[in-house]
Amino acid sequence: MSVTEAEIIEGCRAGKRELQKALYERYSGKMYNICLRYAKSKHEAEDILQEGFIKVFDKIGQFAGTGSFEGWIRRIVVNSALEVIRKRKIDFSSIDINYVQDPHEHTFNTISTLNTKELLAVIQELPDGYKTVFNLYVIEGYQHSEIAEMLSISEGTSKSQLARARNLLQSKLNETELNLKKIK
Amino acid sequence: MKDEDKHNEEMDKLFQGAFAQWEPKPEPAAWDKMEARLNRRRRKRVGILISSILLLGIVGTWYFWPNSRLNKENIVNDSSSANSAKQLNSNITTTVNSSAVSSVKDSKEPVTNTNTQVQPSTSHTISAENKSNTPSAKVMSSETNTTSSIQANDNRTVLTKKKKNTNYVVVPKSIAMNSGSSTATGSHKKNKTVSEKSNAVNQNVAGKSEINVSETKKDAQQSTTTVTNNPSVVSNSNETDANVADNKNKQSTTTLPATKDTTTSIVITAANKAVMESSDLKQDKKQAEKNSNTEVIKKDSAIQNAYAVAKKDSTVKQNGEQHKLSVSIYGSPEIGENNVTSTNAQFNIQDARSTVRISAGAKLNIKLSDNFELNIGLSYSQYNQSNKVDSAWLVKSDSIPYVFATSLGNMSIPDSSMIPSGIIFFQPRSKFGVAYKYTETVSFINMPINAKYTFGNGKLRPYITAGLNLQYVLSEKASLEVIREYSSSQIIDQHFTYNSLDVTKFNFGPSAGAGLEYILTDRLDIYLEPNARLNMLHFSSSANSTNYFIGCQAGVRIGL
Repeated sequence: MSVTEAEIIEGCRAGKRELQKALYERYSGKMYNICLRYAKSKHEAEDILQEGFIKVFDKIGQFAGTGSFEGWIRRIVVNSALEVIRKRKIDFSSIDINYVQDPHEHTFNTISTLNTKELLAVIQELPDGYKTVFNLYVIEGYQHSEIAEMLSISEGTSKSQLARARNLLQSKLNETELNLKKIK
Repeated sequence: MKDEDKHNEEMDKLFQGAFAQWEPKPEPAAWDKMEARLNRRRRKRVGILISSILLLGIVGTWYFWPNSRLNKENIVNDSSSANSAKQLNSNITTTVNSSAVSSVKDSKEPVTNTNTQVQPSTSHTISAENKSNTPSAKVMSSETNTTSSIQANDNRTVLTKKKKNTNYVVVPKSIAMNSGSSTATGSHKKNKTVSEKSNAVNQNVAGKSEINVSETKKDAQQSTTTVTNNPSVVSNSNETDANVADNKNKQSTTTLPATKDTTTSIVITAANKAVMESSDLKQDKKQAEKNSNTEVIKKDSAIQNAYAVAKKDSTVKQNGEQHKLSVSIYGSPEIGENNVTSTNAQFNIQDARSTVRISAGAKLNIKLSDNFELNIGLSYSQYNQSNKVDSAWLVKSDSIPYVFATSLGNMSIPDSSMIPSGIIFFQPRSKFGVAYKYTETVSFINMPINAKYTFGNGKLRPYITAGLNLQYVLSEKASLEVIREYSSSQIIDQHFTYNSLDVTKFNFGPSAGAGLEYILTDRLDIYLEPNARLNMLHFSSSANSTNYFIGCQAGVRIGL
């Protein structure tokens, strides 16, 4: 028996456990996608997912019902991920010495044919600052001004982090594809 | 630049497309963990609610606790006479003319003596004083095995009575006064009505009726005591001709001597409350004195002595813990245990050893009865535990980072820290060895709310306590020193410190203790109390840990 979104929302507001579980089952996959992109590991991603859904259950009374419910959950989960990242005290001004490369060294090859899991692994290898800005801008679709506000950084920093993230991603994609070709 | 922009766009689309519809499934156990956490949160909310209600109840009890139950002295204070009389308004109406002041106190002990027989389930003592003529009267009584006395500072009339289970006696002290004063004291039985009116003269006892009084018959005007509704009045007087306890269901009156200058009218109405039972009002004075437990003391020194004795008698019971409110200050060596029992992390830090820390606090003690009291406190505590392992083997895992499960939560160590580039694991070796030292320190504030029951009345008193402890974590710190040894030639130290872990800030649970207190002075006692408390919630939401504390309070208590 399928439960409608309205029923789930109403049930969660009443604190009904079975409807909370229904909400979790419906959206956990999509939200876990977000968590994995921001986290360093599966374990951390699950922690973020748990934290995000706990907040969803806590704040569901505040959901006005006017916008997309999935979008509302997504924002909560993203914020939960950012909280975890903030705890790690990211220094956006620093650049990991291991990853400093001249962007002009890159040759813009054809776009990778890596699958989603391989792309995820590439993203997870990025330093926190790069990864966060890249995810927020490219995947979540936030503007630099919004990112700057969310992360308490300047728009310039956000843009530079994104540029570096792209360069590094390109470098890693090339490297990964090269390795895969060698194996094959 | 165009190429770069184009390439960026293509790359963005690549990632957007890859993740747009991707729905990886978290581990099936993830919901179970979340449900367990939701249940804990629900219990926590219930705990907070119960604690709040309990706290509110305690504060309310403390604030509204009736004075009559706590004030064991039963000393009638002249200054509060008017208010006291008002309190009895529904049961007793006392009117004292000539600016007399009435004082009323309740006690629930039956009164019996030779001349005055009052056998109420509830007895009332009324004292009236005529201030216009300067004498003042004080009435004191206490409960079992205590002394009751009435003191007239000016007229030097004191009635002292000692008897078990006795409060005190009807004493119209004005009779004893030489001039210008009138004081009446009466005892009443429940469900009876007594009224005394000085203006209604039914039986003239003036000059004859001396109720516990050896002085002053002259110049006395008439005052009338009217007893209605099945009254029985027994006077301590030895020379009264009045039979106050005439007939049941009739009105009887007793005329009491009043002063020359003033007419004292005392109307005592105890609706459904008061009764006076009299026995023989015509008893011979000598016989009465022989049988009576009442003695009259005329001299100032004797009055003062009697007052002092009575006061001492009632205050002796107030030593130390007898004070309604007291404050305790204590220190306690304490040891806390908080061990990880199971986790899904790669490596559990178990068997950590706790070290003894000193906690300190203060508590307010609210006395509810002779043996029971409530304690509400605030204390600062700390616990520390550490563990040192010389050889632990970690599996080279694809899952990064490496996670150490501690009782404060999981400590994630980045893969780049644990396995630096250049380290290659050759088969069959898939593990690498580490030595590590783990230390965690947590400081918190406690709010114990305990009920305490004390045994005995001696100087050394055992007691037991039980109640609820609320705990809030102020700070937590964990450090992990990892020594990685990949080969005999390569040893790398890493030191990780975590100041903000996944710690349950608020916790609660039962607490219990048993101790001994030693009464030093009226206001001071010392105590020693071994105790224990258990936290109902795990210290960390990600670590299943059992968390309990054992300590031994040594403290001093000061009566307020």
